Amino acid sequence: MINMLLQGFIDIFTVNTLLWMLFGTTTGIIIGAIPGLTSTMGVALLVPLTFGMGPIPSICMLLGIYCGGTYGGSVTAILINTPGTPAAAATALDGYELAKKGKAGKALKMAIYSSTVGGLISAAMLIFISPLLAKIAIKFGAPEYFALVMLGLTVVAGISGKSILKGLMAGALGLLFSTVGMDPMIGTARLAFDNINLIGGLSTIPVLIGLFALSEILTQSENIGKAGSKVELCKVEGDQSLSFKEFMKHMKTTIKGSFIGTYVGAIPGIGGGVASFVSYNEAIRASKHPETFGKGELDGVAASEAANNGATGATLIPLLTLGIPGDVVTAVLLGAFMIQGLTPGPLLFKEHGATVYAIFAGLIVINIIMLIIGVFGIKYFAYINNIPAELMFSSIYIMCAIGAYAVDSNMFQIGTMLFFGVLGYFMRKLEMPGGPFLIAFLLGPMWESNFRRTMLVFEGKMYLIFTRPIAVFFIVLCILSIYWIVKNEMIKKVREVDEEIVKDTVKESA
Amino acid sequence: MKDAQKDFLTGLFFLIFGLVVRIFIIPNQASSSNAFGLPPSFFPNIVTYIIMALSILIIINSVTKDKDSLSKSFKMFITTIISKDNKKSFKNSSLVFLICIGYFIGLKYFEFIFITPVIIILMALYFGWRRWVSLIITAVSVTFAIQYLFESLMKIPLP
Repeated sequence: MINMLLQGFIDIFTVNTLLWMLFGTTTGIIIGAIPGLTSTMGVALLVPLTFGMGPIPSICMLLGIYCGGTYGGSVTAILINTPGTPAAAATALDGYELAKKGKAGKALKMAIYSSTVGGLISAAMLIFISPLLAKIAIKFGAPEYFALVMLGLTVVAGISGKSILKGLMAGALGLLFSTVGMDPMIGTARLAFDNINLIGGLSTIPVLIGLFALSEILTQSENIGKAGSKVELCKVEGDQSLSFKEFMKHMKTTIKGSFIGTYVGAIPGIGGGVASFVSYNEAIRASKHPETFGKGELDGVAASEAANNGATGATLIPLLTLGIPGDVVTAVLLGAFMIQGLTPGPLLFKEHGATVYAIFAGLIVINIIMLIIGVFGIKYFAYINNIPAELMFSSIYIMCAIGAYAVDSNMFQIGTMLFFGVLGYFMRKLEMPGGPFLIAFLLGPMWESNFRRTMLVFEGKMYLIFTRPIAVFFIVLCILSIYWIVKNEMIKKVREVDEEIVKDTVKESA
Repeated sequence: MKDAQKDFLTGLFFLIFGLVVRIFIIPNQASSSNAFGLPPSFFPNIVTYIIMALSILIIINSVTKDKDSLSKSFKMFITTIISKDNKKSFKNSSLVFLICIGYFIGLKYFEFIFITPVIIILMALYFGWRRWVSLIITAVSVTFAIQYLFESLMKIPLP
């Protein structure tokens, strides 16, 4: 493993790859620091840039956007109390309070240091755990894959947001659109409306650009002409240094947060947002002065940032070893892998071992690049918010259109992007999340073909799947995960009802 | 619009969508020959049933959330749509989408290098940007940057 990793470092230490990583990480930080833009959108938008690149620089660049975007969210969370990404929401609680006290620089430094520690620990866990998991996964046949993808599809329920039913509906829509094109077993056209462009199926890139980038532009355009509140920016001036001794004081929280992030991030469907709050709560629980949290406590920033960046490497564990995206960004990354001819899953380690280890090495280097940019860019981050939205969104649209076109130099792809942009816009209006749609869209073909192969293997007697221990294991996990999600949903409902009863009682007594 | 009413309409829309796909689209667009195990129409059919089942669950959920939903939904929906704020928001995004379609059509007749700055300028103007110098500089530089990136670096010819 060590040799492979060293070879991976050799592979990425080329000017080309390093420059792409630098570009990706910087772009990621900028995207993350702009409220409204997320790393998902950034990755989706820049996937088309990877067409002419090799697999190593392209995946490393996209990982740079992912990691940089996750850290970048903390910048505006600290400076203007507006988390650039949902994962940075917990950072704003103490970060902004510190900024108000004139310690914005200290908070930003703590954020970058703990993000780097989180990212590095997460990368290390990815390096050690993934090959072991992949060795087990290599023994899978069609029945095991069918059960595994079914487990992956339960992620859809986990990332449904406000309503599980709407998340599942979005997932079902994704499955339906994934059936467009050629039938995987017989090879006849299906739902293609005799259109030659649809016979090969819908291309992933225009779908994800439309769903995540164009729909965002359309949503933002609703605010044209509406008076926006003037943002009050906390300045980074004076002595803002964070001494080594000071940082070490928060090291325990940082390391604990990193492991929480790694653990939570590795569970499909949870992601960095939840991880940062779990870690933040744990920091409060373990603190001798819990009353200082929420009032400008550096420990709060360290806990949240270590956890959300700790999740970045961990979400790649299910993606690389099993081919199951752990969250929305990794679902977009799954598409990027496929474009490069790499199919995430156990065979990836066997067939493209060198590339996988180069990606591992890249993840470590990206975190170091992020640290360097973070330390030297602190004074300039605040200005990111001065980029005029009017110019930014019109330029982003051009990137969307040309990115879709570049898939196969075909205008049809721009049309597809426009269609999914409108679909994504209305899904947002109906509060249906885009993540479940994309995950189901990507996993759908795998699920269908393995299901039909399993049916052929078992000659239609599907119950024989229970004679395969690994498949049974995944089915049990699937049932447990559905039970856990439904239980949580019911608890949420009971709480809502309780709150309503309390409100009604208060009203009546008043 | 109240959550319950929004949910009710979402459920109703997808129930109709599911029915249309199941009754009109799948029988015409997917073969039901089962010569090699399951027919190609099997999976789309199953997914459509799932969509319809979920729609019904969403409708039931919305009705139990707000008992007045059934009777009030359409009235509320219409009132919300024609409310001044929503009308303006929808008009804004529709116009931006029209500009997007304009670019799609424009690319068929004009070269990328000519139509792109025009669309950037149009869109930014519609968004409310009035500083002409920065607008023109952005439009031209974004156009050339994209052209350089795709045509020169990635060797992908643009329209």
